[in-house]
Amino acid sequence: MLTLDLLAVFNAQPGATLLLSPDWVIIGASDDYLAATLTQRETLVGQFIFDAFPDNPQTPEANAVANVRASLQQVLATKQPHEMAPQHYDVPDRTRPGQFVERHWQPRHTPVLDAQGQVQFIIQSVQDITASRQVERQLRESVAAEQAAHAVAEQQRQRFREVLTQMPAYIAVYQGPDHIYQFVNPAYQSLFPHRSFLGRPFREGTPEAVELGVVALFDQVYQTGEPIYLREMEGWFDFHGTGQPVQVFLNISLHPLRDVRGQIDGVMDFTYDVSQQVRARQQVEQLNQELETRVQARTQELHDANAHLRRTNADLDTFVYTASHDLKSPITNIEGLLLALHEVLPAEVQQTELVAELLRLLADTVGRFRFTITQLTDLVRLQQSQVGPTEAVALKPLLAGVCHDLDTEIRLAGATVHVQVPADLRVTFIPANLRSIVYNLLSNAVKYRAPDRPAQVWLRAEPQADAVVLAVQDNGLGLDRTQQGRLFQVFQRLHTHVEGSGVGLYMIKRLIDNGGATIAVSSEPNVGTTFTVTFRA
Amino acid sequence: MPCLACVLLVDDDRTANFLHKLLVTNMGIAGQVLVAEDGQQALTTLAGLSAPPALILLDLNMPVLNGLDFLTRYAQLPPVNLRPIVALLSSSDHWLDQARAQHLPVDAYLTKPLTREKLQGVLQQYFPQ
Repeated sequence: MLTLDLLAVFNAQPGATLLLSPDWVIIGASDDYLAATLTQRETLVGQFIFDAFPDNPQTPEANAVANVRASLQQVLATKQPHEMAPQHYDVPDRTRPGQFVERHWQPRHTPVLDAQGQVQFIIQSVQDITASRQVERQLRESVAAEQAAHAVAEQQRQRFREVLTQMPAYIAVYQGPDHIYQFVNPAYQSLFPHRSFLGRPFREGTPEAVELGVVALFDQVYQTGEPIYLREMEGWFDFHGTGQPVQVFLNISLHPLRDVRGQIDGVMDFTYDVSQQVRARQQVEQLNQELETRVQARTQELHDANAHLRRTNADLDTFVYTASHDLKSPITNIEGLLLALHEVLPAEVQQTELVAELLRLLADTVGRFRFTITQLTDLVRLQQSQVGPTEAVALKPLLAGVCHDLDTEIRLAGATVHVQVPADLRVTFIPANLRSIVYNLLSNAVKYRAPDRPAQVWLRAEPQADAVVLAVQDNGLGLDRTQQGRLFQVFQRLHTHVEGSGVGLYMIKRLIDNGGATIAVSSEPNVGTTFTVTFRA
Repeated sequence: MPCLACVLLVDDDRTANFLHKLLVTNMGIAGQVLVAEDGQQALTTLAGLSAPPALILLDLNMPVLNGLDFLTRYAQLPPVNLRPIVALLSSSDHWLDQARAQHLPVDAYLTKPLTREKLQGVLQQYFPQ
């Protein structure tokens, strides 16, 4: 007779089952149960069930011990099997004391009744649903994460809209090939207070854009996906709904918008008004243009005035030349006639007091006339011939030559001329002009002598660094400061008691200036005057 | 005082011609005094002479043909055995200086007015006997 070892059968049966006494002490456990709960039979058997499987203190919300206790009590009371809801009931980690391993179960309690109908045993059969619970949880978590991400994205979009709303630019978003207004920011709307945009095509909301060609550009961006930037586009828009368009200049950026699949589904229009800048610049350009025109006009005026002055100067030169030349012949003739008269008039007539006086006055008048004309002619000559080749002129022979030419004047004045010049000293100048300068200075020094003392004139020259300095010093009348200032002006005669036209110093100043030399004067009234000419070496 | 066979005065100024002729005549230095009023007339006068004058007193500034142009043209004529002495006259040193620079056959440069002394100077230099 086969002895049926029921406990051994229980332990070996497939499925995770636990055999409990009516007072919930563990009697047996199937191998699958042991494997699922990570326990060993010898430690399990004989233990009170909740001693063997206490609650995990780290998951207090699970409340598994209480749930299982309630189920077991119900089975004891009803003697009917009880299928529990899925339980989160972690098992102790035998390798790490105090720690638990996550487990989820689908428990079922089945009473085993004896012949009297009393509960003899309770079979706890469990299904390990940990894996599926974990998958579920991951799914839940991922859904939550997705929702969170979605919320963040929504928030960002909201912020973006706020930025667009607050931007000091005209921003609109359009959808579809007809560019239906989806969004306009307040700035855009306030441009056209009388228009409504949302839900309408761009060409209707902003009909001016059709003629400006902007609708075609929207089409282009929508079709090609390439953004377009327009700078300072001039447009006329009826902003106030009065039928009177107003001119504006706009910088326009058109950007394609794409859906999640990357397909273009809209256009964003980002526009700002640069009218003020453009007008300011145009104003500046216009002002510049006007300024330029005025400068040109002024330049032309100056040019004309200059040309006029040149003509006047030339006319003046011609006049002076003609006058001096035309006057010269008659005065020469008068002089000749006077000479002839002297020859022809009998001596006794010439010696008559009245005739002698008349002849003397006539000769005197002719002489002065002639002198003036000579000076005028000199002036003309100065203006006509200041050019010529410069030469290295030996100074000492030149001074000697001038002294010889002025010999008569020097002798008549009783003047003594001292020449102190190095023998080999040379000055680079136009020879004739240099001669004129020396002649005039020496002639003046003799002419303007002091009547109360013998005239002395010193002609000195010496080389200096990069220069040759020529000084003409006299002990004559001298000049006060006012006279010195007027010295080199034309027709300024400072001493009126002697012959002179006031042309000489003006002329030599011109010659000196034109030759790149300088002249200076130092003088003391009634002591003497020194003219110093500095030539470039 | 030498006596020249013929003196030619060339000047557009009649007063000058009158004075020069008076001076030459009074000094008694010329058998004949001819007058031309510009360079062109002077050339014509010269062409009509069998012998050239001994002395020409030539003004510089004249209409039609001035003194310098006259000299240029005169220098191009066939040479004669006895070349006249040419004294250039001007009322301005400046023009005489310019004339000097042109190396024309001129013997004397005289500023107007012409005087007995100036003319004597020329005669002493070129007609010493």
